[in-house]
Amino acid sequence: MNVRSQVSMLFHLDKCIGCHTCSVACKNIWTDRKGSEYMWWNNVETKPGTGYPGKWEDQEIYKGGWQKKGDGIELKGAGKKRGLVNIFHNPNMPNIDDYYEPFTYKYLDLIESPEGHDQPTARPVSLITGKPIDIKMGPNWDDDLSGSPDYARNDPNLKELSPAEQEAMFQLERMAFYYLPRICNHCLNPACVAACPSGAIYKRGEDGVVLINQDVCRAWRMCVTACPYKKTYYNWHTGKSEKCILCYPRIEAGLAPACMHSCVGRIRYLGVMLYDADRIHEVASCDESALVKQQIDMIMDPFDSEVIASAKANGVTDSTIKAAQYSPTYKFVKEWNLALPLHPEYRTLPMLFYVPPLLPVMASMREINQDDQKEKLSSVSKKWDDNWLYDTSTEELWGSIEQARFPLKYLASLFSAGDEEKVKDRLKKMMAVRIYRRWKTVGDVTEEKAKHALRDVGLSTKMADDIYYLTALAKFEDRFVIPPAHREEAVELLEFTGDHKGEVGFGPSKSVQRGS
Amino acid sequence: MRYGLFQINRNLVSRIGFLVLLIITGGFSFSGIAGESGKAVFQQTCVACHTIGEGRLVGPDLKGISQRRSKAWIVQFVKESQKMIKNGDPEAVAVFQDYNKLIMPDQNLTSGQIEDVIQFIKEVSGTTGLESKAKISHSSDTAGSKNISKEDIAKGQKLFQGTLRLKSKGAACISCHSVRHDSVVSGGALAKELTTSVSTMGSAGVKAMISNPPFPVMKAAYKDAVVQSDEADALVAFLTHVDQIHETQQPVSYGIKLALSGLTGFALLLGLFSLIWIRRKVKTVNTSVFNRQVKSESDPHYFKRYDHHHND
Repeated sequence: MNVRSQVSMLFHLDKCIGCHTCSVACKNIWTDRKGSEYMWWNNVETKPGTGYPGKWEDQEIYKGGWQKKGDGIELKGAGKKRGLVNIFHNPNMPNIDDYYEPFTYKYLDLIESPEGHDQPTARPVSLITGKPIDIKMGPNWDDDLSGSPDYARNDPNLKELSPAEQEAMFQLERMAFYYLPRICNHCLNPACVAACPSGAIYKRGEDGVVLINQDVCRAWRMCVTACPYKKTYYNWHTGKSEKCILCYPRIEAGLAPACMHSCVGRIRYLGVMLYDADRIHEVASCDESALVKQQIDMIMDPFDSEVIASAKANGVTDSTIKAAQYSPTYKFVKEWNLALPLHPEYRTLPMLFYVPPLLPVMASMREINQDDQKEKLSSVSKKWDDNWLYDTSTEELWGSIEQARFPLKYLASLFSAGDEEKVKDRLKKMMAVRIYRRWKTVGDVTEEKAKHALRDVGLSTKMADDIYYLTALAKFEDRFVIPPAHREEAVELLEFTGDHKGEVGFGPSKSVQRGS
Repeated sequence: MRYGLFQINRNLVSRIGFLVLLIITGGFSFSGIAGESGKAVFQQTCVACHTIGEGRLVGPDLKGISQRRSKAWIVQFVKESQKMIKNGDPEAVAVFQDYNKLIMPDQNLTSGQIEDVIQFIKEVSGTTGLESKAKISHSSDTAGSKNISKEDIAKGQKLFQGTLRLKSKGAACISCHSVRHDSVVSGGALAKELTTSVSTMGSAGVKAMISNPPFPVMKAAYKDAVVQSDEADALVAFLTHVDQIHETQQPVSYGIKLALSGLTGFALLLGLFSLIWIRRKVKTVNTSVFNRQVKSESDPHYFKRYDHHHND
């Protein structure tokens, strides 16, 4: 056993309202510099949709992530041999049009234009060339309300759905969508780290944050293609690649990351999880159907004395172990089994987790014969052109989930490598807590039915109460359980603090000047 | 080295030489001194191409030249023959035509030096041929009469290409010259192409030019590295051989064929690259979104529509 700690974020998708406050907060802090205008370390995209950059989930285009090779795994688009062959010309590189050309407006024209017949306009100008451009794309172009056909229907996750199912998804009456906030997943088996020819990317020991050393980066941009989530970006101005740093300067000071801090819906939770690093290779190369279970098994019980001993041997501090015991992410992911990783099939073992959205699943859609109805309608004015029935009534307990208007196959493609049962299991638990709370607060559901629902999904009333609390009532201290960094340890890496005995403060300070 | 010293700064050296001669031969007549100076200049500059009373070499026999041409004409011709031919001086053009349109290099001599040479020629022209031969050491007098052996040709080729270094450490001919010969590739293009040099100038003339170059650049290049006589013979042998067989050799071409082969190679490389990266991502994934958009600059009706609306 080789226990290490990982700071891990959890997104409760049912609570996300798609306001993009997180994206804006992140941009204002980190990516408003020249060359990084197009970067969105944090972005929120509508699902179904192609996301940002376009079709990032289609690894046949970008060749990101890992693939199975024999008993082990190999990088899909890089690695030793393929990386060397393509080192001067990476054939799968996204270009600026896959993102968008960043732009601003010539606002000064609005107030400085000479008098004329027309209102002055502020023309858009490119932030790259400085010349006027036609805006062709933006970070959330065609987004929202399931977006335009170009955006929503090209979602790579729709591949598994039949044409009829796809068609049905986009009919106005049953249209459903939800938001997917994305930052770097700070994976346990990061493809970007493995692909970097310069060895510039590393996973920080103390909290598992994946970082790019700007001094070592040599602009090969192998990480840009290797990351299946397209979360490393190349800064064309500095000639270095950049990515989400999980706001480590804030975390070290005991502050929440900017995206989390600004989140209006309070959908984000940040906690420590302890995992067994010895199992990374084994889990990353296991069968696709076992990926999610194995990854969650890797996360260790922070109360287990063996785990604590191993963690301490690895230098995990007491404060971190204590934080792991109160970790909200650990509760959602491991205790309650409510969360799933995003696209586990890329085999990078992403350490950010998502509680799948129940909201778009609430009503059902059934295929029925509408021929009788058709005869009643005039052929000129109206006619039925489908055989679907939109149905919000449920007779059985889990009816609406099993016949969801939003195909579970789609959610499974995002969160469980295609395993619908895992998604269904999570949604049922959420539904059970909802039924339980309805019995408690509204009272139009019988206690028997509520308890039956909880029993069905294997939740105790205590667990249901805890889930309800952490989902709906949690305070900031419940959602953000990260100890501030131990400054004294950082100082000891550089010098022996005893050297400064009798002087003022820690750190590389000058000796105090005293009066003569 | 004897010539070399003179060529460092001909004016300066000739002046010093003049003074030295004045001191040493104080009792000599004035004309005698002029004759000595003229002889020196003739030896180092003219003798490669000209004789006095021994028939034409590369250029004409100069015996009795002062009776055929005026002194001013000779001085000008020595200084700038090309200009005279260009300006259409009938006598200059006639000489140029007569001698295979060979250019006489412009000589960096003062008028006084040229007059000394004319004086010298006049003096020698007056004596018998035997006497003049004794006075002028002609470097080409042994060339041409020898039989050309295969060894000489091979040695000459090596010297020409620089695989065998000149004893004087001078630059190999190929640095500046090229010949049409299948086994000599990539000759220099800085100076004359030498394929038919022997039939144009005669082997004696060629040897004279090798041993004692009259061309300013070549002269400067070999001023401290005079080609030795046996090496010059080998080079002449090689050049004679080249001249004899040049009809059967591949022509040297730096024209359209070179450009075409370059372009073909480029196209082949491009083809190869596109084969290697045939699966590369060519266009943006957002093409379908871009295609449905109306672009202000490319839509011809855009501004018209606007103008129409505006006039209403």
